[in-house]
Amino acid sequence: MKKLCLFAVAVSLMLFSASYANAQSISAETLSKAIQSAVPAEFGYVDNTDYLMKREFSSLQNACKSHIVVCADSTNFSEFGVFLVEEAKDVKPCVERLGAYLDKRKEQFKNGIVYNANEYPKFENAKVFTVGLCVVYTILDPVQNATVVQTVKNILK
Amino acid sequence: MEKKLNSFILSVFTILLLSLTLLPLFLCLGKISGSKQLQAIDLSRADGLADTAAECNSDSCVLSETVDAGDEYIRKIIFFGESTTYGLQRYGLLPDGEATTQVWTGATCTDGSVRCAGTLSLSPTINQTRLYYPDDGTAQTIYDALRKKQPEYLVVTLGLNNGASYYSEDEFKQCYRILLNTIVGASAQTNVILQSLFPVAEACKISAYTPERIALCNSWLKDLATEYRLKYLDTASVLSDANGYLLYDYDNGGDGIHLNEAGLQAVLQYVRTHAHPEEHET
Repeated sequence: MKKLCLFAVAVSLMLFSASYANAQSISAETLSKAIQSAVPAEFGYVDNTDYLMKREFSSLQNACKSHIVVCADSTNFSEFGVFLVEEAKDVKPCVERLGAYLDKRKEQFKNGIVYNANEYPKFENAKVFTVGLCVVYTILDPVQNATVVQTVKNILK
Repeated sequence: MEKKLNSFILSVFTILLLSLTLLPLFLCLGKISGSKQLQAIDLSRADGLADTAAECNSDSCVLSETVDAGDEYIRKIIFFGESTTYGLQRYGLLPDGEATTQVWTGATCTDGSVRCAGTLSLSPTINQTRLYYPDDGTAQTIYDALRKKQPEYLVVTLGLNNGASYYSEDEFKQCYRILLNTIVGASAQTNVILQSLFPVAEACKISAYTPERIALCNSWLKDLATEYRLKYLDTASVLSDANGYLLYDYDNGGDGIHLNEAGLQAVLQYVRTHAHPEEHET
């Protein structure tokens, strides 16, 4: 019985450490690459992190251990951002900030739409979702949104 | 026997513990390398390369009236811009008609095939946007296209999309500086002309587009022309009525934003009769 317990403890420790090591090794950049592969853009994505972090997400800088924001080039409006926060208490403020950003972008697009009316559904379906300490926003079409959610969940499970 | 089994279990447990301790270390060392596809925007170049404009004040940057420089001058120009520029190709108004290779706007890709999107938006990623390069039907960044073409003149008409809609002055200029730094870096000898945004019709339903807003964006364009010692083409002056709206005769009758053939002919006439000083010297 003692030996069985010892064995069970060993296996549990192994499983726990494997998942801990996995979570520790996952960066926003890694997730971003996986998402880009899952929902490729016409001519690829462009790193817009510096610009948007300064202008829109500066309040999230300290709470995030890694973050990245990418968008397609400016002939379409595809965009997503991945934020890995430090602690659970940082998730809610991050979600709120990203939600406010999406509302603002939706309003901007609605007010200034010239071409690309077919892009508007991306703003209507824009979403913020969380998986543990990972907060992701997407401005993509609904099918792509679902793919992104599944991709992130698969990596962080 | 029991002793041996206990020793064995203890050994296995020890090995497992050691592995778990070292595993995160190995994982950290085995970082995935960066993607070549993802290109970071180099914001360090976005502060503007021009010195303070001692030689060029905002008035001297505005192209003044000249004799008609004719089709010979027009042939030397690449018109780079958004959908309001694309009309030059659609209506076949340039020397090679609809087959012109003088209009550069955004590219799109459908089923692996690159096509002209007929639109483009000012944005902080404008320098990495793929535009349709008509010479060979490929998608190129503005940098690569200019490196290949090295045009004598580049007329830039960009900023109605995004810019006039909602950008602040700082955002508008920041995006333009990213673009202009790229242009200068790609083809220093190209004479760059910033053309004013065109006015929109009074019937235009987009609330953001007012004569005041468009005039404001055009004043920012003049500032940028001064900053970079470029030229500014005030085409809006011949397209607007007394209230700053697009003249009725130039409206294509659709969304109130795009010019009809007569309107674009007026644009080209203005370009020819407000030629770049370099053209007089040739």
